[in-house]
Amino acid sequence: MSSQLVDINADNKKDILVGSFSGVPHIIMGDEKGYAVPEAMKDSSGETILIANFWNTKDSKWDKTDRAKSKGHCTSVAAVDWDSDGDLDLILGDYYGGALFVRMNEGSDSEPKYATENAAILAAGKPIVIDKGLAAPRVVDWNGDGLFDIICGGAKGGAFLYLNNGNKSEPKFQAAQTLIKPYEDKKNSYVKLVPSKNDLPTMAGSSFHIEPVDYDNDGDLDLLVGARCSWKKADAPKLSDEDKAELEKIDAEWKVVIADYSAMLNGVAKKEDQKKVMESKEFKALSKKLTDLSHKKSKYNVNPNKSGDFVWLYRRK
Amino acid sequence: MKMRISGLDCWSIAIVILICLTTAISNAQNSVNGPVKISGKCVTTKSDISEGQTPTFTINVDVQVDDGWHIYDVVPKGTPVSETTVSIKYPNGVVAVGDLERPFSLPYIEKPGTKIFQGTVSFSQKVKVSESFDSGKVKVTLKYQVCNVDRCQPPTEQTVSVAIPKLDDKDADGNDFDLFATPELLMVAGKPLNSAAKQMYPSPAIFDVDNDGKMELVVGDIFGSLNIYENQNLSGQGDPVWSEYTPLKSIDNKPIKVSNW
Repeated sequence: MSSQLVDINADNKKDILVGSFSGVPHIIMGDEKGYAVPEAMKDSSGETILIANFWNTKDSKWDKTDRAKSKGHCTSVAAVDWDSDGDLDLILGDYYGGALFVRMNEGSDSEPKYATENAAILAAGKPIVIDKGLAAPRVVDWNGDGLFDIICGGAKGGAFLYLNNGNKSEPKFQAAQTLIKPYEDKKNSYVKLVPSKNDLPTMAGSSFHIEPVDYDNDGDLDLLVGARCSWKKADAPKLSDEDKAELEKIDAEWKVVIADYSAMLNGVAKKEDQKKVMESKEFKALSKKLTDLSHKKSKYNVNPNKSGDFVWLYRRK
Repeated sequence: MKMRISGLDCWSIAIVILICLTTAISNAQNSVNGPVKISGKCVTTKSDISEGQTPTFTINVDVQVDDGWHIYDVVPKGTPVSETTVSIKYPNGVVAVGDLERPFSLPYIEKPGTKIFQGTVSFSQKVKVSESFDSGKVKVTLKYQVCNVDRCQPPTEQTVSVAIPKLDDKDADGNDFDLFATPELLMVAGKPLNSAAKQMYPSPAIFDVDNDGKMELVVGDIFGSLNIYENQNLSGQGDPVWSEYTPLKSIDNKPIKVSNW
């Protein structure tokens, strides 16, 4: 997820801070030779930094903890000197509930020691919540007043600005201003169905990951937006009655195979046991059936929509 | 008790009786709102908007009076019909600019000194929206009495709520990109930038990832890959021109993958 070039330990070497769907932010330490493999960020007690939900690498399963006294699943992270004490603190973005938290660095710039708990970030006195989740924060001085502001994307699209009207040591955020309004499609889908032209979407859609940047070197901040969307295929064929009947047959067969497929894996928790099941003749036969059915289905090109992930430029007027 | 009945009082009583007789009829003949319908909207023009300036809007309230009916703008003192008044309640962060603009009224031939509104007329009020405005509606209440040549209905009122656009849609045109131009797809060699890499949930960032003094586009995704696009426009002016992507690699020359779930 979103990456940020930082010097996490003040050694004058650039590192890359990056969010992860595992629920734990990672740091890619850099030196003159290049970048090391990513490491999970840890707090002062040696535990990984998170919100609550995380991928438990020991047991290879999704897990949850209340050790950070917060709820959610951290997929995005941004570093900023929150309290102007000379070191980098972390802003954590929650995938599930859309909250933002700060994890303070209680150490120093060269020896970071992150707190063991998160504090909710407030705007106009209330915890920030990005509707539908996937809070993906970036930090920027949007209005040039010398204080950092937060811009946040989210699952339903849109860009929300939280202006900081506090002071250097104690940031305070105003209520959200909508920089880009989420697009509302008719079904309010998770992946928005957006208008298209020449068989390409004309709007960004959902799951906004934002980067504020002067993209065109004209002196103002534009927004780069990574997003997902779907749009109507330009060449979606119309099915004949015969085709529709055949498709219904395929769908019925598909459901049966999927049910068998799921039944074989149900209750098989351990990876090695799952592997055994997957290597069995029966399972392979089902997989082949699914592949064949999928090929048959694709002939009818049944989905009238296409979907994709793109990077957009919202150029400031 | 003796009641003194002046000429004016007689007129009043006649009207009241007329009202009593006709209200039931007119209620049946007209819709819930009778012969007067009101609607409101918030409008502005591009010229009202300039960046960094407090945006101003105009609240327009259209009053549609059915054929043959009228409402009153001005009536001589002592005339037992009500003039039309407009009162406006503003949400936090919205204030009036100047006075309410009333529409042009016509002299009423039947009653000298009386002016009336007929047909569709529009009241308008300019408002200013401050940074503290979050959301809310302006409530406009129109108090009036509607009459035709034969009868009057009792004085009544209607309220209409008008939404003020948020600061992202300053010109109230329904286009949400007022701060920004129409969004543009980033492209590489004529194709959308992510066509080759097919990263899911792309998260772009721009920084000098390889320490060559030039900015690169670094795109992350949900599976933990990081792809680098080099800027081939070295002029330092205008938009970057992006190369095909290469994955970010670690010191041991393997593509970096962040997550391990």
